[in-house]
Amino acid sequence: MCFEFHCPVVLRRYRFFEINNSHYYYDDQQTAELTEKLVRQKFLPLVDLLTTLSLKYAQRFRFGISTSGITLKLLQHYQPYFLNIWKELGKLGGMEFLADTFSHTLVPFFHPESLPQQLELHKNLVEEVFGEPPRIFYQPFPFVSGNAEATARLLSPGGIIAARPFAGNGKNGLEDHSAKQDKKLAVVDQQLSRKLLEIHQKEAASSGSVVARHFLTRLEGTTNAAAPRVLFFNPVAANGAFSVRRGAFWEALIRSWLAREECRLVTPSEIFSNSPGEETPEISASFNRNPGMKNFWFQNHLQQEALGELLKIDRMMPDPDSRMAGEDWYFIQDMDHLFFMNSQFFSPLFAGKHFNPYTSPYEAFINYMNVLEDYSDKLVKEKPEFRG
Amino acid sequence: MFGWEFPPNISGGLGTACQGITKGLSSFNDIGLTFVMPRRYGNETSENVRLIGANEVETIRNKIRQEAYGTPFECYSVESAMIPYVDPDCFYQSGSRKTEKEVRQQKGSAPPFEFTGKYGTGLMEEIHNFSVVAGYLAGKEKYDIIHAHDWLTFPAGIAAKKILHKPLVVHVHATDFDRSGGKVNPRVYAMEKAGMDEADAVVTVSDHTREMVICNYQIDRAKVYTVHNGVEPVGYPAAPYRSGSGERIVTFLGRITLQKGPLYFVEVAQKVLSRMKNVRFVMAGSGDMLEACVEAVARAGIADRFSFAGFLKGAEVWQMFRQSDVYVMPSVSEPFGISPLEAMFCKVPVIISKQSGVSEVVRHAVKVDFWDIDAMADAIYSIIDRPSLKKMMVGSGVNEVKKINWSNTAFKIKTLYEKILSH
Repeated sequence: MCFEFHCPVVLRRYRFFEINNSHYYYDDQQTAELTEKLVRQKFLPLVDLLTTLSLKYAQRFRFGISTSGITLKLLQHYQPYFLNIWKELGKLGGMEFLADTFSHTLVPFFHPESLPQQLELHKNLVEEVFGEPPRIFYQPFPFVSGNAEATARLLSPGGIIAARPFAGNGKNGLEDHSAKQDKKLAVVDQQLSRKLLEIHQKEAASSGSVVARHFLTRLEGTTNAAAPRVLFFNPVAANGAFSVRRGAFWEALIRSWLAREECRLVTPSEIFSNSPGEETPEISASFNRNPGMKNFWFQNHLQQEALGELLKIDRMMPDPDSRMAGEDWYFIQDMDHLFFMNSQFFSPLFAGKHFNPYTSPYEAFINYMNVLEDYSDKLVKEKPEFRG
Repeated sequence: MFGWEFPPNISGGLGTACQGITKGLSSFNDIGLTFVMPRRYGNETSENVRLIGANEVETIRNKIRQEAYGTPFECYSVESAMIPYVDPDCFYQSGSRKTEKEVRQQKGSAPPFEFTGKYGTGLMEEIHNFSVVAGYLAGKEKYDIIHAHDWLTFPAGIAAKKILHKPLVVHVHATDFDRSGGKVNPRVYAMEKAGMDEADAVVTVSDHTREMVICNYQIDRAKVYTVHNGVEPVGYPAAPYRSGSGERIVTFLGRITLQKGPLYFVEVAQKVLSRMKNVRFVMAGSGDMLEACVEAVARAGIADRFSFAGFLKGAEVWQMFRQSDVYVMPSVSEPFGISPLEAMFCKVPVIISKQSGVSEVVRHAVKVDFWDIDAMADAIYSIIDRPSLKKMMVGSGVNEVKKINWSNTAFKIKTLYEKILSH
């Protein structure tokens, strides 16, 4: 079981006439308020629950954490007390961080040259805050470049957890044949993870234990009990606060789960260390173009132009030193800025369910492109050889 | 149905809306529609709608006299320039030398009221006369429902209701709060309120206007219905026109009055032109703030990049859109605003104020507060400079606007009629 923690970075209204005049891009107040709200409504209750479960079930309840370096930076800056509580949870020993990119970004999956540095920065920060470096790489998206797979394996010898089976096309992800035989690859069970999110959202209609039993029945009905399953839960994606009722539901779920002799909740590393080769989760033979990824982050013309601009800027930084030039790059490449341009935000229903600091995808695009234009111009000014 | 203007003889969106609604309603077989306006020019076209100009109703004075005196009478009229209080010299200069005198004998009829159908100094008198005609017409034929568009025709609607004893629907296309920028004319307000009070149902063109009607006129919320306007499809417009200079055109099209926010447009132009040179701003329309805008443009030093196109109508409007790269509607208070829909139909990206009714029905427009000139300028810069923004706004905008048509508006009005008649 892996839990995702994510805090968005909110950009200020950056107008076109500020390009080349001002290089500060952030709405600090809104970012601070949003971080505080997420911590209060979601992260803190979740960490409380994980602490309770860790204490209650000792070594049988273990889990993974996926979070970007940027989220940790925001928490360090705006909610340091929460980070201290989180560290205490880490000291109980059942929590393992996944190796993520430092930024919450798509860029390294298109330009894997930047991946080593992203992973290194993330690893250093996690180690600095929690004392343990991550070992298992979490790959949320397929690599567009074929070399990336090798890079990822090299950087994360412990194994890879892929969000989806990105199989069937060497150019676009992990090869079918290698994946099937790979003892170092696990794939998130998206169907059950979605179900978990659904149940989490609907739990208010029923008592926690009833819902938990219902979920477990489904779990049994849809999976091979012998194979380890990787489930992800992102509290930010769930509507509403992580209420006491929801906490009760989770507790009931975990209790029911662990009541079975054959059930254990393990850390990401333990998936690979405990599983014999033949039990490695099977990759779907059919190539999945990952519609979720496309639907969310580069579905429309606006997102595609913005992503193109991001990749153009990334190409302007060919050497590792220049990549270290400024922290801004790690903040502004956050893929939330692409998500805010998603066409689904034209629907009031969708907009009501998801955070977006802009009133429309057009507004999101205009603002973000101004920021990227300024950043790009700044790079060119600092190093004219970057041009083109 | 009573209206004040009808295309092609229009001075604003009211006539366009009346044409769209009548056209939509006339497509229903079970609706027979009579549209009465102050003046008919003869060049109006409408299928399945009986158009009556109050200026054509010849028997009205006699009818009134008949009703007043209770007896038929004969009237003889002589063409003459002689009117009371004219001295002999003036009378002589004014054409009394005409030797041919036409003497007409009229039995039971007299010249009709004179209507201009304009918004001039005699407006209040015309409104009153129009209500007299309305009452007369109501007495001549049977109607099931009376529908009056905007305050100018509300007295006519009330007069017809008194004669027919049938339900009255008043259609609010704009309130005096919109037109005056808050400095409401008490006489206009009184006529608006009287119409709304007397009506069995009040139709507003947007939720924005609905709230205004409920709050500012204290009308019962339960009888106020929002029915958004539509746009008349004109087929695919011709390909956009581009001048040889590659100049980008940013257009304002509307009455140059306080309500439409023209001075914000000038400020936006100044902001954009400080960064982009190959852009021309065009203000099309006329109104009492034209002079102020000309002065503002001169003061801003952007006269070489700013043009005033005058009042446009008909094909000229489409021609203007064809040349435009961006359309801006910075209205301070716009009950609906049909022209952005027309621009979208012509594949022009639009920037509209959030204080407009049309912003309730379109998604593929950049929406800004009318005072936020920074946001407006920013949107213009992006639309001109970033191809995907224009591409998406144009592509999605055309598809969206095709669904915002008068048929839907008419259907909702018909449903409302049925609801009222069933009570």
